This record gives sequence, C-alpha cells and structure tokens, in this order.
Amino acid sequence: MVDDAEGNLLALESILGELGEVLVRARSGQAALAALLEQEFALVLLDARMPDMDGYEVARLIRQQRRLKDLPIIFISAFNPEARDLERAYELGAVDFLIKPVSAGALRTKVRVFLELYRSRTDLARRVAERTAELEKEVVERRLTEAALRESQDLVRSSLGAARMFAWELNVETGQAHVSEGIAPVIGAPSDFPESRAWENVHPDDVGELRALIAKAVSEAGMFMRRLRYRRFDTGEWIWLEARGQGMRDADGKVRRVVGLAMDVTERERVERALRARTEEVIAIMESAPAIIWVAQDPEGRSIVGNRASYEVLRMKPGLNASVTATDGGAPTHFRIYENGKLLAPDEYAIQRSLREGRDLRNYEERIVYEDGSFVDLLGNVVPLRNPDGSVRGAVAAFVDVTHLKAVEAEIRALNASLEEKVRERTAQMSEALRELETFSYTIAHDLRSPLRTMRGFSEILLEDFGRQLGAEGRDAALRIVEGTKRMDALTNDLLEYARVAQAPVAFEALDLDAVATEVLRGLEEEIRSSSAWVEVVRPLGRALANRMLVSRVLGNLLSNACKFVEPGQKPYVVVGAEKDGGKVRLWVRDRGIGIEPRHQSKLFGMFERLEPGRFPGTGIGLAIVRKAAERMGGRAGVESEPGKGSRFWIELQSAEELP
Amino acid sequence: MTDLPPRILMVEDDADFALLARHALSRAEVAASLDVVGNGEEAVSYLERAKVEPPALVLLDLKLPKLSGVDVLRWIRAEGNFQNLRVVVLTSSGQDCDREEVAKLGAADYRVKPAGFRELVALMREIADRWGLSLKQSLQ
Repeated sequence: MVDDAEGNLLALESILGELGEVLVRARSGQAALAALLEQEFALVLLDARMPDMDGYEVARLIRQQRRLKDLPIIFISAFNPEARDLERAYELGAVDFLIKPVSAGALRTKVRVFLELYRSRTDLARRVAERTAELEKEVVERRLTEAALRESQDLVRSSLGAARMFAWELNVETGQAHVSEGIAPVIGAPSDFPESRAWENVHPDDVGELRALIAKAVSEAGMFMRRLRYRRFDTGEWIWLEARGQGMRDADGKVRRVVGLAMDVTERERVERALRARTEEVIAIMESAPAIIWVAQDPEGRSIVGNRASYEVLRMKPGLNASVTATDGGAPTHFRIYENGKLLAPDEYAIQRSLREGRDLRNYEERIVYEDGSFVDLLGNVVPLRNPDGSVRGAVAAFVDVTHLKAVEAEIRALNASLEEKVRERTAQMSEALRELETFSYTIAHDLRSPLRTMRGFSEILLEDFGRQLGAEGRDAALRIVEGTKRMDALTNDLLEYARVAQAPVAFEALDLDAVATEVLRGLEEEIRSSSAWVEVVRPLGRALANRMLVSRVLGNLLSNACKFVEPGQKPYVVVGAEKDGGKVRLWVRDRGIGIEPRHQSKLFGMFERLEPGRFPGTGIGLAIVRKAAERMGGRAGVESEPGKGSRFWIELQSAEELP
Repeated sequence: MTDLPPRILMVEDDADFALLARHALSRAEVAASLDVVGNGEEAVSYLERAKVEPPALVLLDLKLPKLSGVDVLRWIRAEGNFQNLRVVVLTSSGQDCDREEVAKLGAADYRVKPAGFRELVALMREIADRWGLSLKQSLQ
C-alpha cells in the first residue's frame, strides 16, 4: 500500500484487514521501492498522485527490476484519470485502475484474486523447481548407473576372457545361438566369426550327449555341466571345454532358452589326467610291492587304509579302516601289537608315534599277535606326510613280513651258541688227528727203515767180509739187494716228505727269498759240486708272504732237478730268479738241461711221474711235493720248456713287498 | 781196573741194528766193549747198577718200548751221579723238534742212523775219535 496520505492508508488497512494477509504500508515512492527490494509481494496498491515521485514513476522503476516485472500493480487515484494517464498506467503493466472512493467489497475481491493468482503462481514455480531438481537428479543417477553397467560389463567381458570362458544362449524354439565375444580366443576363431557356427566343432562323440543334456535342461528347467572335446578353428587341436547350462523359464513358465557358460579346461583336464595316472601308478605300486603298506589319512591316525597285503596281514576285509583308534565304531580288536615283547597301547603303535612326534621311524620291528595266538613279525619304516606349512597331516608306513627271518635268526643264534662248542670239539679232534699223523710218519720213518738198514748193512758185510766165497754171481745178488734197499729208502723218505708238506700246519711270514735261496744253496753244496753245476742267482728275489719250510723244499727240489737232468757229460747251468706281477711274485729256476716235450709237461707234477726212469734216478715225488707246497701257500706251480734247450720251472706266491 | 776197556751202553730195541753197530765198532777198531739193552726200563736199571763205574758213552735211540729215549735222558739228568755222562742220541727219524728237545736235555750229540754199513762204520769211528775211545790206536 503506497500512499502519501495517512488516512488513505488507514482506510485501505481497514478494508483489507479482514483478508488476514500481511499488509505493508509505504508513505512515499522511495519507501515503496525500498520495501519491494527487501521483501516479496503478491500485489502493489499504488497511489497515482504523490509528491516527489508519482505512482507512474514508481511503476516504471518497478518494471525496470527484472524480478518485479510481472508484479501486479493496481493504481488508485482520487481523480478520474485522463485517457493519457490510463494508457500510461496500463503500459506500465497495471492490472487495474481504481477511482476513490473505492468500493470496499470490490477492492477486497480484486485483491483476493491477485493474491490467489500470486499464490498459485508461486506454488507452480516451486513445483516446477522441485520437479526440475528431481529430473536432474534422475539424469545424474541414470548416467552413473549406465557407467557402472558399462564398467561391470567390461569387467565381465575381461573376466570371461581371462578365464578363457564365454557365455552362450540357445533359443530352443528357433534354434538360434548367441555366444559372447569371448568365444573367439577360446576356440581360435576370427573375431567376425558367425555365432551360428559355434556348435560345428564339438567332437562328434560328444554331440549326442550335449543334445540330451540341453533337452533335459529344457524339460526340467534344470542345470547341467559336462566336459566335451572341441576342435580349435585355427590349429585344429582338440581342446576340452567345460559347458554349463541352465534352462530359463519365461514369464509364462515355459522354457525357451538355455543359457550358460563354457570354459577351456584343457590344462585342467591334462593335469587331472596326469594326476589320475600318478594315482593309478601309486595304487599299482602299493598293490604290487612285496610289502605291507598303510596310509594314515589324518594327523591322529584315526583313518588308516592300506594295500591288499596289509589287510591280509591284519586279517581284515580290504578297504576297511584299519585304525585301532578309529572313532567310527569299526576299530579292529582281533589283534595286539608287541614291541620287543612289550604289549603296546594303541597310541604307542608305530604310525601313531610317527604322527605324534612328527619324525621318521626306521627299521622298526613289531609283532602282531592274533586272538588265536599266532603271530607275524614285521620290520619297516614310517614316514610322516606334511602340509605345505610343515604340520603333519598323515603318515605312510611300509613293512615287510620277517616272521620267517626272525625264526631263522633265532635258530642261528641257538646254532651259534652250540657252534663254539662244536669248534672246540673239532679243534680237539683235529689236534688228535695231527698227533696221529705225526706218530704215523714217525712210525714209517723208524719202523719201515729199520729192516731196510738191516738188509743193506748185512748185505754190505757179506760183500766186504765174504766177497771171495760168494763168487761173482753172489756178489752181484748182494749188490742188487743193497741198491734195492737204497731206492726203497729214498722212496720212503720222499713219501714222508710229501705227507709232511701236504698236512703239516703252515704259518706264513714275509719271507726274504734271497735269504732262503742262500740257505738252500748252502745245503746243496755237495750235490752242486759233484755234478759240476754252475748256479747263478739274479738278486734281489724280493719277498713273499709264504712259509719258510715249504719254499726251501720247493727251491731245493727244483735246484736238485736242474742239476740232475742234463745230457751225459754236460755241466748243468742253472739260473734262479724272480719277477713281480701285481700282487704276485714268480720264483723261477731255469736250466739248459734236456727239456720236456709239451705232451709230458702237464703230467710232470703228478705223483710218481718220472721222465726217463732208466736214465735218471729219482722217486717221481719231487715235483708233486713242489706243486703241493705251492698250493698250500695259495699259489701254483708250472713249467715252460723246450726239448733239447732247457726248462724254466716256477712257483707263484703272494708278494710281500708292500708289507713291512 | 784201568786195563779194562771202556764200556759203551747202547739202548736199542732193534737187535739187528745193535748187531750191525757191534760189527761197525769192531771194523772201526774202537777198543770198547758194547753193552746192549732193548728198552728204556732196562737202560735205567743198567745205569742204577753202574753208578760207581758208569759207561764211557751211552748210544741212545729215542723210539723205545716202555720208557722212551727222551724219558731215559730226563732220568739221567735228574740223577745226580750222571752229571758228566756223555749221551749220544742215535735215531732213525731226524726230526728237528727232537733235536732241539734232546739238546735241551743235555745230550752231547744227535746223529741219524745211517742207511749203509760203511757210513755206520764211519760214524762209529767219528764218535770214538771225538770222545777219546779209540784205545786200540793209542795202545799201538
């Protein structure tokens, strides 16, 4: 309400007061403009004539304000306005022009109309603003949703790609298939690969099964999963696909589509096949090994299975749980286990101990005793199985049945105990035999030679004291008796010698062969001189692990032979030497004598073998003694010879050069 | 007494050899009388009786019935009166172990019975020479 007259303002207030609206008064144009800038108004009642600034001027200034250009203004004038004033007022957007005195009812009605108009306009604006805000919010949200969707689709696509997986959909009614773009790398197809060909490369043997599964998924709205072979488009290799499918119900409850995923499981299939192969091998090993094998499948040993042999030894049906601490109620109770004769509690059994202590048990011996009193002795190892973190998850035990061995072992122990006694007895018997042998030899030497001595002695007395009375024939007969006794004496002597070499106990020493040779040559001095022999020793002969008496005898016999077997009138030439060959030493005696024909060489070392009995004296025992002596020292004897040129006799002995 | 020839005791179970030895001693011109006993026990009883005038020499075989030569030797060594009695072992075996044992028991010599008569004569002469029994020679 803009009026310069207080009375007019009061009058307006009284008329409009009953409307119950907020009335603001202004006594000048300036005051009105100030109020309009501060507050919002539904209607301005403006006095046309006012000092300083009239109503028209105020209206013009109001219209200049953008915010106020639609503000309804009702001019009030005390005078009938001129046409020019009216025109001006309406130009300025006045909505009415009232003349005083103003009808109270008309004024109230008009004001009420404008108020409602204002009210409805501001309400609309608010609602528009609200709706706009809502729409804007919706737009933002939709954009976010779309982005999220795109993102998640990307994620799905890349996940499928990484998993070598693709999605598929089959419309059962049209037979049309859709596959996700991820199929291309999986089956080695180009990116513009037509979806309809996706089924072509399923292995013919798998097609029927796949069709049946799809049909079932349709009829039952169910799910399936199946591995099938599939040939790659690019390389032609067969790969394994794992296809999963699900029949999808439409709104009407009918299944028209089957959707699913397919993934490349070639590597997994390969690994699983390899694993199956290893498993089969392990089972074959367990079943074929001649051993009793148990596997504890848990850290407490409450579940134990084994191979056939293990069930046989436990007298149980194959496949049952063999654990005596089984909690499933089937724990076997028909045997007990003993270790070193001590009955074990179930938690002391080898497997339980290995599990609890987390260590190997090696060469563990136990005895299973059955209800009927029979038993089996087992020997074996237990090894714990571990989780990746090192904790024990189970154990493997492998045993062998040593019942028989243990029995034999016990027998051997018993035998050993009696063996010592037997050895003592046997030693005594042998000593006795040796004594008898010595007595026998002595008897031969003494009793056999005595009559010979008598025969020869008295024959010689006959020859010397009664030679003349005997005559030529008698002397010849007596001479033959003397010669016979001589040969008999030599034979007796050599036989005695052979018996001694063959049976006397032999002690070995690191023998200095040079010293032995010197000693032997001294003993043969007379024989060598009488045969005019030349004997040479190629020193050093070295040392042999041998018996002094036997080597002396061998060397003496060989030297004596070398001096004896020469053509008449020839002087024997003899060389003694030795050569080392690895761990052996070969002692040899070489002569330039008559030599031996090859066919005789092998017989030479036999008993009573004589080369030319008429030409050379001898008993045929000397070389037999040589061979026997060599054998008794763990060596051998031999000869290399050529008739007319000479022989080389040798014996091979253990060398003692490395010994101190 | 001094004009009596020295005595030699022969302990020998082989009567033939004893006879040969007697011939040999005679051939070797040894001026000693030979007494022969056939086993160890007789040898011991002979020596028991001859304590006052023991023989100049004992020719002892080792292998003897009843009491062996080694046992006789041992008895002689244990007997105080025969500390200086000369014993020559005359055996047929010639085994080394005997030789050592006999030497330990104080035998003066150890000889193997020769196979020939000529060798036996030589042996008897050698023994007589060695122990100063060739009285025939010294008398001449």
